[in-house]
Amino acid sequence: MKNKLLYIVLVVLLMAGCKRDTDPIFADPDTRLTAELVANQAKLVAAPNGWKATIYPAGGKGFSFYFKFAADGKVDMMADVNNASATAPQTSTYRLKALQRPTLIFDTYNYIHLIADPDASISGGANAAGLKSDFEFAFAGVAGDTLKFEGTFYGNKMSMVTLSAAESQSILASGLKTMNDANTAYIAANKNPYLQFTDGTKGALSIDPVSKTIKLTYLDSKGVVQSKSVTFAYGINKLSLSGYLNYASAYFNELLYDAASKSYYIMAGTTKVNVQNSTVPIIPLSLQFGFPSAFAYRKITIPSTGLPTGVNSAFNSVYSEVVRLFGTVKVTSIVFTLISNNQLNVDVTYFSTATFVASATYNYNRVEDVFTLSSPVYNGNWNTRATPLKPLTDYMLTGPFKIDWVGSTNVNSPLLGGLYRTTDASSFIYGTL
Amino acid sequence: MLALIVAGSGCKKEDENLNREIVGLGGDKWAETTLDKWLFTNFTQPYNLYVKYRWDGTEYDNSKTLTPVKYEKVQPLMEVVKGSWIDPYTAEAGADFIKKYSPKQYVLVGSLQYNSGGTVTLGEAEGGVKVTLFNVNNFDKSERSVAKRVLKTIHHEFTHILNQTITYQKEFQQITPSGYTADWNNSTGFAANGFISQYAQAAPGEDYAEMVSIMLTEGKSGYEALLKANTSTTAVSSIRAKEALVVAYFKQTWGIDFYGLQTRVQKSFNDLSPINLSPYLGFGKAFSSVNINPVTTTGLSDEFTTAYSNAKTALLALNTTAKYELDNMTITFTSATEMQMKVNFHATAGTATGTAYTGLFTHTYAATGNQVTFTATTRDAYANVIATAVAPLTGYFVQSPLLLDYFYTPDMRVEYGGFRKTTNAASFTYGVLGN
Repeated sequence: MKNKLLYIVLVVLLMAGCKRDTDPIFADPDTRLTAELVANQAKLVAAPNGWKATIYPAGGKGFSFYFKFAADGKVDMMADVNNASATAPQTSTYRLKALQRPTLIFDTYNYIHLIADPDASISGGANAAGLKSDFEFAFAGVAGDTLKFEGTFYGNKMSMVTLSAAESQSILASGLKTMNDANTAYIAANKNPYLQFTDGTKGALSIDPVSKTIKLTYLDSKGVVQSKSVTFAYGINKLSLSGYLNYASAYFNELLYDAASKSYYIMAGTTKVNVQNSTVPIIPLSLQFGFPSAFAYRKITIPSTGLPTGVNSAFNSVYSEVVRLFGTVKVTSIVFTLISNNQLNVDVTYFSTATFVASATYNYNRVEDVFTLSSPVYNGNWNTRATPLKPLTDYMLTGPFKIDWVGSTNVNSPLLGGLYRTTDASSFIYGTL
Repeated sequence: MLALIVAGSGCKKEDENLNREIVGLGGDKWAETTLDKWLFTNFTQPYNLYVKYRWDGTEYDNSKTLTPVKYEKVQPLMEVVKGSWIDPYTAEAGADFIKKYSPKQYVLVGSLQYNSGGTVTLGEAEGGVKVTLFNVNNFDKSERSVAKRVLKTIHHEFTHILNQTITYQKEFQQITPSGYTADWNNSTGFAANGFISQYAQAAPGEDYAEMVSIMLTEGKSGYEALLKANTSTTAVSSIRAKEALVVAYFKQTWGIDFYGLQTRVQKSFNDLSPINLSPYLGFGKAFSSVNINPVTTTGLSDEFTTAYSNAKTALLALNTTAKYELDNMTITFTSATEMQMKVNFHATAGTATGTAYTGLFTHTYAATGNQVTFTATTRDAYANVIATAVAPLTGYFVQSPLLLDYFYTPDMRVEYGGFRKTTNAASFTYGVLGN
């Protein structure tokens, strides 16, 4: 009996040992992968008006694309890469493939490959690497109506959103070029665009269409310059930024364009903030003017053509009097230069029988943006030309002077800087920087 | 009890489905396009050669940034591959040759491959199985220099495959043994050192492939022009020695007449990517003369043949004593504006039997592109004697402006240069190019 029991136990054990549960919990992986690829393709093809994608390649800039996928493996494309790509759609092929992840491959050449091309003259990047962009993208997720992708070679993110019929038509009607042109015109007309935030702080926006970057620069509460740069791609009536720019809690990742007023605005949350234009740059010149090479500027120049146009200052008559007194001797230039951390030179270059330079050297004491001049030392030429230089000599002694930007009514004026008399802001020396 | 144990130990195997689909097995699939069909019909089916033009990241050096090809570039490129690579070999070595030795896969890449040293790669052959062609997007059939570069890459890589199958003569690397350098792209003066190209200095195997590919793609006239431009006689003799070894290798190893192959490549390439003869024929160029002899050169147009035989008959009747026989004629460009037409004949009877004479007809000419217009000016004494008799022949060259062109014998053994009437494309004459 005992033996019998043992045998029965043995048999039960043997049978139990036979039960092999190797079935995958879900269906067969290959079947699932195939289903996933089919579903992904169906999703791509299903958008009746196509997709809008944005890529901000590792090599810089940002780009918008229009994709219209067809079931036969063809894709129509437009892009803001160049004039042709923004005005005429081009067809190539795509396919979906199971690599490490389901992957969308643009497998023959189209606009998306222009920025990845290793030929620098095509990509606008560097030879051998292009702009480090991608054209093989793994499906990385879905967020609302947005498909997220990740490039398999350079790892660039691409997001794709379905387009409405109106948006689609707009892009096909060269809308990306229209926005590009509008932006070019905007930059030409608005030299110093800025945003004014709720606390009164002004944030300068510099839009560079060549490197496709937007920089937000502002002074923080301690008077220190803060700036952040992002790249952008053209959209329909907007610039789409590669990331968020912010001042305090005002965040934005789009610069929206109002075609009627030809100006930009942002939506900081639900608040609309218009981009305004200033006649002079937003960041004070005093922060960029100084002797050490860390400063962008150290001199103010009145060129041979005379004072820059479009500015009204009491100095205008001083300058014209100097020129008048020089008579037939031509004043070639007057340059105000910081030659050290405590000395400023005024160099008047003139041509009589040859070119001469009359120089006056002043010691200066700087307190923030105010320069106090003292102890002038005049060179021989200055003494020789003391009579015609007298109005300038006298004016230099009417300081102290405050350094700041100078606005001009001439829209094509270069950047101008000025030394303002602290006692009379309507009287200031000015010139190009 | 035992039976029970046996029955119990026979484990129950579940029905595992082994006949299931595996993703990606059998390669990528996509909706077949007209291009796919064309490639299948022209390459895969006859030669078991697969042309992979769609991007496949696994095929390339993954440290390099490359781009896919432009769809519309593939067929024109592959037409040149077929016409100027496969067809000439098939014609010379039989249909099985390409089937047996050709790479099994052509991988096309749109961009160049940039290397770290500042060089670029145009093509790569891997173990005789796979050839990768770069720079496909810049291919343009109508631009001969661009098309030639691609064709040269194909022939270059195929030469490697032939060499890898049966190696070339070991004497080859002894011709210019000290010239090989890994730093070939910074080594100047390759021509003076006896190399056909800069890259030929890289290694003997590359030198070999460069010799073959340049001779085939430049053709006889282009190759001769290269050698003519080389001022070093020792260098030229080195290259000639290499040429002789290449020709011998093709003959002995593969039973291929190399010059026949060269002519076939040129014939097809000239049809696909037209070129004119003017860079090679003219004053101070690789060739400056054409010798026309209908007896040894067959296939001349009826109009010319008639003119020639009329002149021959008239010349024979001109002097009943001497009975002049027309031999041949040579057209030589003697300066930038002057052409000399020499009509050679000899006496077949009388006291002067066997004496050879030359009538010299001087012409001026104006050339634009590959078109020349001849105008007769002066004649020497012999020319004056025969002028009337040979007028049908000399007249042929001044009746209409002529186009310089390449001509080939039907068996593709010889490449000729000659003239075709602009007013009648079916009227032409040609002969052996010379100096």
